[in-house]
Amino acid sequence: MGELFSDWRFWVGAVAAITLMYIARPYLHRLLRGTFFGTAYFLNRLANWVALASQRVYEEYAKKVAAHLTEEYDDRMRLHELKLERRARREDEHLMKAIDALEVSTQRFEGATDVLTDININKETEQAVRRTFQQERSDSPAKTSKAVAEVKRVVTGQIQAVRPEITGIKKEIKPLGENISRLRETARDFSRHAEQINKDFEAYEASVYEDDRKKIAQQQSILIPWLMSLVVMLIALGGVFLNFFLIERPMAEIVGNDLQIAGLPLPRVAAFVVILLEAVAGIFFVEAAGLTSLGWLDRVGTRGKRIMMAVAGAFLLAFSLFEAFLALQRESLIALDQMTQALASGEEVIEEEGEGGVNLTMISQMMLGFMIPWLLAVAAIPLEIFVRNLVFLLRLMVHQILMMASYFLRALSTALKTAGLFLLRLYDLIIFLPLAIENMVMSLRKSQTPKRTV
Amino acid sequence: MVRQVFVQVAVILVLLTGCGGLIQSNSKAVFVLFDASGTYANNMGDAVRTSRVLAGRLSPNDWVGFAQISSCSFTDDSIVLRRKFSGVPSQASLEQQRVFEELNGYRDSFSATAYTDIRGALRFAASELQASDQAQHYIIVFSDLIEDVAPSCDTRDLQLDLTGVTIVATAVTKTAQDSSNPELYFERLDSWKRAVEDAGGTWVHAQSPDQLLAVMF
Repeated sequence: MGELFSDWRFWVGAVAAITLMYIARPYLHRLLRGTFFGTAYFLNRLANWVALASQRVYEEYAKKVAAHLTEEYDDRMRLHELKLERRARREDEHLMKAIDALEVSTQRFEGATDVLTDININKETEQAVRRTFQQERSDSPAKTSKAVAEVKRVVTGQIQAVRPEITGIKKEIKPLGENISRLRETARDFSRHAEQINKDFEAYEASVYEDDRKKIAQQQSILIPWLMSLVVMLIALGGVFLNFFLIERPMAEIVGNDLQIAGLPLPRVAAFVVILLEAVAGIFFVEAAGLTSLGWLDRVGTRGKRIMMAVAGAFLLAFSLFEAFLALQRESLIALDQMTQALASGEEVIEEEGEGGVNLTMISQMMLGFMIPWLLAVAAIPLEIFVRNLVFLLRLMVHQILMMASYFLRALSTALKTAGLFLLRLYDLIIFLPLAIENMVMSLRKSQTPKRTV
Repeated sequence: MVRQVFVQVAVILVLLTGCGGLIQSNSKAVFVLFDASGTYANNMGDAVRTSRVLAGRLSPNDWVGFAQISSCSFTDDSIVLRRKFSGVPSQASLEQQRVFEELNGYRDSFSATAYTDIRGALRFAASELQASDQAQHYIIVFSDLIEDVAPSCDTRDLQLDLTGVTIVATAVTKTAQDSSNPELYFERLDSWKRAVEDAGGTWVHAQSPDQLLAVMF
């Protein structure tokens, strides 16, 4: 290194390079600026454009989610209306019964009150005493005793007359209490439902009239229902996957086993097709039953839906029986295959008596086979939530990806701008000496130039 | 409008062409040759056992033939059995069991031959396979691959056409000469490989039954 600096050619070369750089400064500056700042500007514009696209995707997402929320609340309000209608009819009957019972109780109370009001103990006892004294002329103690006995008889008679009314009042107290608590319960129930309806209605109104669609969208949970539906579907599909292998072998008896479709044996493809058909029947069944609202059967009306439900149900039943039959066949076919393989490897095969009947394994396989189409139908219920929320999630993901891309582009733009600036400064640093001389000359010239007076 | 129709037609054509390639037959035609010459006769038991396993692994609609390599192999007398399995798996399984019985019968009753006409046997097997309509053609050779033709049946210059056929040589035994000079064994294998490939076939050497099954299935 020391040798390099002591070599005069190095210094001549350095001076020449610095001089060249000084001469080329305006052009190279322009080039560097154009390259770095121009690219940075382009990237910044691109980042803005991507951010705008991301924003639009999110707005679209918010619109869709809000629309879905409105739809959902619309359905819920209709359901409330139906429930209210049904409940009002039922509660009306209950209320009428309770009111009737209360009226009966009131009438009984009134009757009892009349009877009790009519009792005049003072008058009756007085009359009894008078009668005794009028009949008995002497002042013997027997006269007093008789009067007392007469009073007792009169009082007892009066009380006996009142006793049924008192018993009636006692009897009425319990149903009265029951009817009152029923009325209270009904009132509480109504207020609870009213609260729920009010809450839903407020949410419905907000989803319809709120201008901020993003706010509405943020209220709706997308991920949790999607995950729940995914779990349910995976469980159901696990059963289907198991069944797929169970029916593959017996399917070979029906479709043969010498063709391959897209590299897969024909029985496997056939088993897959059967499962797909079962899934289709299941989807139609739950849609017709009103458990999902995919909208395919909206035009057919209630009667059409009932027919569709019956048809899909019949298909599901047929598939169930078909699967059970395949399960029945499977065991005997496997036994035959195993025997062939044993004979092929030279093993002695002894057929045991009693084999070939229906055993526990076969019954369980038949039951599983019978259940599979219905299991698929159940799996179709969360399918709607799964597909719809998946679309929402994908939109959200696109929004996030675009946003990240925008941030990245912006960061890249800033980095390029900084790098360009750094290179310009470095360039000037290398040629600082001629630049300093140029500055000095310029200042000198400026100072020598006479000032113009206006 | 016209453009849309064209696009639709193109899509349908592409799909149809694709579907044509999508559906393939995986049926096999397998012809097994047993070397019945005196030098290999001791291995017949193992060869038949391996053949049974092979036949047991075949699928419905597959075709299978068995013949022996004898002094003059290109003759119908050398055939042991030939059968096309039913398309219904359970029926095919029962047919396979009958094939096993016939093979066992052959194993117990065959008599060793004086000469080994391998080319004649290959030609015979190839002609049998050509008559079958299966997608894949195989010839399985159980032999020591030592060609020893009879003076009355010299097939050494016989032209072979093994196009589209895979020849699997298995259980190729080593002779006493091979033991003293292993190169002879490999030269023999190489010469048969060349002969098969010159005839348009594919040559595979499967040393064990497991390798044979791995090649076949």
